[in-house]
Amino acid sequence: MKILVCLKQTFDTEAKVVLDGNGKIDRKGVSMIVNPYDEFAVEEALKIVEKDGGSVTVISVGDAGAQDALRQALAMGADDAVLVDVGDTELDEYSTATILAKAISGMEYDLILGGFRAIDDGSAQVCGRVAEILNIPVVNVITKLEVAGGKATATREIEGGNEVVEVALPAVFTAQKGLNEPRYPSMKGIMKAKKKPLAKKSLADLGLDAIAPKVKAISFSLPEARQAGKVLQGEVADTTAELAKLLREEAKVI
Amino acid sequence: MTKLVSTRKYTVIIDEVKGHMNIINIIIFLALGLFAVYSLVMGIKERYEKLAMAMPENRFDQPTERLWGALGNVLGQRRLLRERGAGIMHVFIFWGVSIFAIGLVLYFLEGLFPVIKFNNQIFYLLIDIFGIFGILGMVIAGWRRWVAKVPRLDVGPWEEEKLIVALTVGIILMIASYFIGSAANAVATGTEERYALAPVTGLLVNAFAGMTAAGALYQVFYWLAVLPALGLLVFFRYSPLVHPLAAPLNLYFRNLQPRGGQIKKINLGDEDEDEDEDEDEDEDEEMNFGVSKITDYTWKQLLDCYACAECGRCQDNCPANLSGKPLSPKKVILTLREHLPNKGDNKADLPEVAGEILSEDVIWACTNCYACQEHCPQLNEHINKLIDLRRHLVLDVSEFPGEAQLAFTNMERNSNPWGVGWTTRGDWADGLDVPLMEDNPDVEYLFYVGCAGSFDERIKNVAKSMVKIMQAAGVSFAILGSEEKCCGDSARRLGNEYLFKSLVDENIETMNGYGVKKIITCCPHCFNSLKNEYPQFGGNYEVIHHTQLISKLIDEKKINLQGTGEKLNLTYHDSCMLGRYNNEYDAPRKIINKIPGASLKEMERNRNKAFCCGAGGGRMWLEEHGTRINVMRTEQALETNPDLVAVNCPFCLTMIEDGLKDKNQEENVQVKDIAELVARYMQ
Repeated sequence: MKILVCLKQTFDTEAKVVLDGNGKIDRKGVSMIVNPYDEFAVEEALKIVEKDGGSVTVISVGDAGAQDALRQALAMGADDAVLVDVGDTELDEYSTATILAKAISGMEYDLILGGFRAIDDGSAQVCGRVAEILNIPVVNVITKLEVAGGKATATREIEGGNEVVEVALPAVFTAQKGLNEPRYPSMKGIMKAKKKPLAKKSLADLGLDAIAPKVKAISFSLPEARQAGKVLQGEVADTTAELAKLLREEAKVI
Repeated sequence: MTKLVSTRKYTVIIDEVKGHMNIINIIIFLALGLFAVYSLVMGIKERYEKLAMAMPENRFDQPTERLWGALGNVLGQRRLLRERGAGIMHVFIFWGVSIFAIGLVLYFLEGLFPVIKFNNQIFYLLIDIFGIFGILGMVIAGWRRWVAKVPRLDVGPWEEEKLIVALTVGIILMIASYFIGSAANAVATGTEERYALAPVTGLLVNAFAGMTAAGALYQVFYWLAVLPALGLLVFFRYSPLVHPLAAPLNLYFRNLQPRGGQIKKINLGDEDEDEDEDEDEDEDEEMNFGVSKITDYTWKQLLDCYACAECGRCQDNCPANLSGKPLSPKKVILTLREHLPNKGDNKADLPEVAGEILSEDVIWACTNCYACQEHCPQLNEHINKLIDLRRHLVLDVSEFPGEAQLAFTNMERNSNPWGVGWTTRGDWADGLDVPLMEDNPDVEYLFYVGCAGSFDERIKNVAKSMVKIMQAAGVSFAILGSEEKCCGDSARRLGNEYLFKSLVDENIETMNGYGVKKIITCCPHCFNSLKNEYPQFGGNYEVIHHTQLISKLIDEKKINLQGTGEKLNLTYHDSCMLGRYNNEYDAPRKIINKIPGASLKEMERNRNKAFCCGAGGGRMWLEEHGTRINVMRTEQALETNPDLVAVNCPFCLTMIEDGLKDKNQEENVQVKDIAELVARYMQ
């Protein structure tokens, strides 16, 4: 079983997002992590390979810094990694998926896994688009996956319940929280990861020219700062009246 | 005439028989003695071979220091006497049997070679006295074990007890036989005079006076002393109870590092990374950073098992054990002893220590409170044994509680176990006019705030109180703000040395970059780590706990405490890290005593017997099941009917506040850090 996992490096969930002078998101001083949903995908791939044999390749499109995310996956146990280094080129879901699909099309695979969305832009499109370009099925938002005899049975979350689907391989699956508990890399894993192959490719290596994104972010804005809470003091009767007044006039909720 | 001749003839015959008897006695004694000594030598050799299978460790440095300390504990029985009853029992046995043994050897020799005549009355007086001590000690020991059934001794079924019974009865029999045999011999040979001062033997001499069978009685009791005495040497080969042999060695080879710095640094292989590049894969498979098999421990860690006398003082003071967790420090030692390797064992076939010898529940239950080691008369090192297993579970096989993983990830990404964004680390000080090291690198002190003071809403008040105190006293200080990282204490004690080291390296680089010399901490975990662990990694600073600083500022009259006119009944909870680990019991108490109107009532378990809050050893971040240690400690505090519980540690503060909520006492009793108290009373 040959499994590919698409992985994105994202801001840490606790990172404080600030805008720079040009109104763009400032990346300076932000801790970068593996997109948590992609971590579920890596874990699932490792579990399948541990059970049935095979290999796991992680692949990412990003800048040189994304190597750290790939090394993290290698430390968890993936066998090799591919980074398509696009530097600081602006990407959208279309261009990312096009690059990923192009890189993948030259590789062998039975299964492609990825997170169902990235926690930064949250578009939840890339894996679906990759499947479309590769012309293979995609099953989104899975919480359980079983692979046997060239077929996969996946449980996916749907509104108000679960759906179990069967699909012929190769196919793309996108991971939802609950699929598994990602492992913490052991020291052995970390040491080995330093020596595992990590191929760096440019767009030219893939035979691609620069891809113009079809969607462009025009501006970013931060949510308004939350106002401090109020504690009403005094007799219960007074404060209750005061509370009702504030809820109606200031908060406008009643 | 004929009568005289015949009597003389008779005497000659007797003498001849006696001569033969002596030769036979010498032969039997020699045969038994050789067998006994052979057994002893083999017993020592076999155990040496077991220890030799373990990893090396240098405990051969500072011989003078080692010798003096060991003598103080062996001859002076210093640590044993911390507990009166059991301590005196042991002094009786140790000194009784040791000194008595001198008399016994002489007695044996005299029995074999009657030419030896030693008649010093004082000598026999002393041997009698120490012999009585020996018997008394053994009787008290037996009484504690089988009559009083002292719980911590864990008296087992007959199968387990028979060796101890044999040992107890053997020693009593040996000493008693000496008394009877000596007296009988004195009567038979007319040497009664030498026992004139000896209380027991003297008494028996009088009782046996004129007895015709005295010679025969002597023969019988001579051998009844020889057999248990030599049997003892054989016993040491076949019994696990080799405490008397191993104890002095274990005390000599004790850990001389400061208590807070006893966790060993491990080579994580990243220091000579480039040279390792060509290492072959097989070696990688063998790579272990923690203890996987028992032979991964060092010889000293295993010597502890032999030195243990199973007294149970460790478990009597262990919060995990007392709260019903599966961990008992004594059982850890004894279980390991049962699994010591045998010569020729193939390491690959040995069981895994974590999981197969000791359950993982045991390994994660330890709060690293140091109570076991504080009270172990043998200076055994329980904590490192468990940390080595945690290291194996975390670094080698990555199998550990999920909560620990969350804490690790948080420390990795945001350098604090709470996982709050690292850029906001200095935000607590907004508006307090606290300078940053970045802007004021020439200040006298770095105020290392720690994760709790930076991120925990409740503990931020402790940090702010410290700022208020230091500003009032004109202390020159600055903070690192977002440049400060977690000290790493929890990571290290949870077994994640890799994460610990990366935090330490970053902190040291930052602090050395500013030329930091003196550090004030308001958390005893940071205090201990910076003071005792950072030197292992090249960070050498003068580290001061905030209670030490405050105490000094009060002494120097740089801050004044004014009463509010109200009385304050309080009790004080010693944190493990400040107390047992760093021996600071007085500074916080001195401060409390300076607070007008405050009256301190100690809990029953205080100072070096203080009970852990349950959060140490990284347990702050793990779920606790069953009876909670913090609730137990809170109950102990409530017994003093306090208005307030004073603490010196953010973890303790959190744990005791939680305990008060559990007891529905949060409205009646407050928990305050010493700094908060001082800030409240400061004018």
